[in-house]
Amino acid sequence: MIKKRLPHHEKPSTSEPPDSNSKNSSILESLKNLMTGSTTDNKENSVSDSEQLRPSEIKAQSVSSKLKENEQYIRNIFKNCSDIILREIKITSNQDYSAIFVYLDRMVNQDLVEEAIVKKLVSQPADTTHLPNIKDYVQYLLGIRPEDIYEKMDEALNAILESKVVIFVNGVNAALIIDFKSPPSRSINTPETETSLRGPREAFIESIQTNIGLVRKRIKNINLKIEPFQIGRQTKTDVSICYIKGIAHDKIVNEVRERLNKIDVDAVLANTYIEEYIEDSPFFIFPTIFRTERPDIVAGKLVEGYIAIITDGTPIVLVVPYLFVDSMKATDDYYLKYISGTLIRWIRSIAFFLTLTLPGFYVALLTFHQELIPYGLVTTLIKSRAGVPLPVMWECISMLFAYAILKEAGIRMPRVVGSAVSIVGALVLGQAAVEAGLVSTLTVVVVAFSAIAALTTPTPEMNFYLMPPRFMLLFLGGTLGMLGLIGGIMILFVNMISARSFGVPYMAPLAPLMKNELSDAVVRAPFWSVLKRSKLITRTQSTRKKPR
Amino acid sequence: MKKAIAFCIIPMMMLLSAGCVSKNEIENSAIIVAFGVDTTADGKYMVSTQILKTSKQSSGSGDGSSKGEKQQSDVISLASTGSTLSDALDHLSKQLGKKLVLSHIKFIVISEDVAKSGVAGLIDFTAREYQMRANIVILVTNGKASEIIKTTTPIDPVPANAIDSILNLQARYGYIPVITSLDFFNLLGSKTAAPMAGVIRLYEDEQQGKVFKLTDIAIFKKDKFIGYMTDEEAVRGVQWIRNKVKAGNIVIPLSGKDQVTIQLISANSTIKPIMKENKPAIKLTVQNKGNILDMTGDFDPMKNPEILTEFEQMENEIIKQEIEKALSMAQTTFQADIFDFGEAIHRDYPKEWVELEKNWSEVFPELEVEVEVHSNIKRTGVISKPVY
Repeated sequence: MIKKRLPHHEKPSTSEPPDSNSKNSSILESLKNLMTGSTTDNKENSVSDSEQLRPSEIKAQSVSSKLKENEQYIRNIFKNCSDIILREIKITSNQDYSAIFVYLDRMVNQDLVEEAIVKKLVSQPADTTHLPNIKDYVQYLLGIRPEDIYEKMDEALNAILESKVVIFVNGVNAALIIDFKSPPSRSINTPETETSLRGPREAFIESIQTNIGLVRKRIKNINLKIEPFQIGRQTKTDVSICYIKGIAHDKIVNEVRERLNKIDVDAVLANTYIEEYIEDSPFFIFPTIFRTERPDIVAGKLVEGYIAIITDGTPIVLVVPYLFVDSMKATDDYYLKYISGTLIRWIRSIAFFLTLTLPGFYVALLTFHQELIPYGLVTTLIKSRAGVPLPVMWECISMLFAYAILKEAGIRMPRVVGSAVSIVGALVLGQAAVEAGLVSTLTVVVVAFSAIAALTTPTPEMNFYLMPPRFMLLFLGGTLGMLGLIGGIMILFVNMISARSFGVPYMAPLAPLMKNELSDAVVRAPFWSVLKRSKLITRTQSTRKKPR
Repeated sequence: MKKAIAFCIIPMMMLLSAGCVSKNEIENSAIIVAFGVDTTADGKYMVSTQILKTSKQSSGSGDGSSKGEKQQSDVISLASTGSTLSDALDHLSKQLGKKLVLSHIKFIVISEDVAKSGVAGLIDFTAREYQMRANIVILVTNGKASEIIKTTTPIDPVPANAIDSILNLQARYGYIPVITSLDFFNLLGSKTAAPMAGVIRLYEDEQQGKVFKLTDIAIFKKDKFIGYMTDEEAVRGVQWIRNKVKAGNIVIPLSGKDQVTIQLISANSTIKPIMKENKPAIKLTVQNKGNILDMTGDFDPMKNPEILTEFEQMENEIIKQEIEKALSMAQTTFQADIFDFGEAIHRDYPKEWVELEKNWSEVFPELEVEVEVHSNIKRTGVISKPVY
């Protein structure tokens, strides 16, 4: 939903409003609300909370010039909301000029409220005690922008919910808004999942303002545009898209806008909620939207023409479009000298391929193609396989399954029991299983290698995305041999090549091959040699800098 | 939805239609690494095989080997008989209850008896059976092939590996030809050429027990064994002609007791058929480079480099002698074209070959071979003049 558009919910008990949808859908909606428990307990009151109000009712309501009416209205609307605070003051300590200011507890900067509102308004000016225009007095004393003065009640209510301070002055039929927003949040920390050896140590936090600030801090450019959206019927979460005008391609920016506008959902608690709505192909196995918790990556992407989607309440920022080659790039590539940076990128790509295919390849060799096993390895293999009860495919599947369980346990477990899990994992599932003859040593090596290799991909989620294709290839390798494995790899590749991310081919610049784009895809070309921006993303031939 | 159903059904149908026919778990297969062929008294084949053990080695090998006990072997040798080779192997498979994997066979040992009676059936089997690789080495033994297969060696837990490494090293030095089943197949298929094979023998050594010795050449005519070429120099001569000598030492006797050893670092030989007055001839050019490995006598090659030229001349003579010895044995003793000169002439003079092919058995013994050797001594080693 775009800002300032109120949702169309309603209570079943109230009479059907003229602008609502059909009765059936409204009942369904309210049922949904009941299920999710979003309705408040006191249904006897027709204005129990703002969500249940008829939008037309609020829209029609203007801010009254009588302070008492306003106060009553707000108290009514925020009934049973103990975190709403209404404070009355007398401007210039004059009994005639009373005002109330409304805000949500702990959502604004309390000190600033005391200092900048209460003190300023209450203290008497030195020259005069008579105020010809109370509205102008307050507006200019507090420096409120004209557009922050609302005459409609619904706008004022939204401002309160957005944790701003709203001032109603007696005799003025407008609400004055001051932004002292300071919702509880933690301070900027070091990145926890995307660690870097030599990169900056800042990570995004849950506050959208701070996150935008972290990006803006890095790109001091008037062309860095930040467009606000509000998504979520219940949560009204702030979402912003960031891009650099002139570098980002207009069509892609428009596409992002359109897709965000189309989202109609109750809650956006994390940006994954958005991600699933705006993805190109929901059935594609790999992500087509990049997530990162590092502002330096976002800034780097923005200057390349990518578009960032920042969601309030999530320390993760989405970046689109996301191509396969991007998932092989790590920040450290750019903080290392380019030769080692390139080499590491290759190693990562090899690891990606190995983690997918190695278990399947191993199983296919052992079950179907003994002639392909190198001679020196046959003796070792046949000895390690001796006396193992399970066929090699099921052995591999069960070990991978055990690894998946261990990994899941490692994420979910409380930190205090961490050592127990690692001991059990290493000893019981590794050594003891081999010594007991349940699994063969080589299978443990293959599974462990495959698991470790998956961790080299810079995106932490890749680890989970790689699991289904790995199992699929393993099963194909174990049932159809090399034929099945190659067939599976081909299906996977065809799937990857046909996928798109916001209109950009997922496997580009590898397929379709774009020779000019390979300098930052296959190798990590030195910064001074990359003169042109990626045409793939910007869609225009633009130069990054003048050639020397 | 239809797509999704198709996506589920098609792989399932694929799985069902393909099945797991060729599925063969590695622990349920008997991997043969070497096999020997003998004849039994009633004229059947007896195949003896070296099969990799699938069971784990018994524990306590750590302290066992330190006491100098005999290293445990990783193979078991089993034999079975049958009227053909595949029949015999089939019996073996039944006996073991496992599928035989023939793709890791390193070499086939043929006993002299089998070789004398003809190896056509064996070579056909190695070429026809899809599991068999083309690079299986054919070896002939004077005794029983099963003895070779049975013998374990302290060098390697898999005896086939030990033999393989000896074979490869010896072949580089030119002491035995490595004739694979494909080579043999091609020589056998040619109307004029005579196949040959390396020879493996078992010797009783006082210190090590039984040791393998891989030298000499077994000469065949068509598919039948006719004799051994045992002369070491002649064997290397054959390898010189076949361009197979890549390393080795050449000892040059000098005046008195002095001698120089040249270590070959590279060697190459080319065969060029020529027509001399309507008679075919072969021009053989050998080029090699070497270093002085040891030397006695009063020479100082660094001061007088001319001495090296003298050595080179002598080396040329020695290599030439070896080649001529090989040629004379092939041309007169065995009258077998083991070098496949016929094919070389066929390639260069296809028209003349039509006539020559008919009476090649008469032409070959009289064939003139011009031998030209160019030796080059590169370095004299760390010291120049012998100290004494």
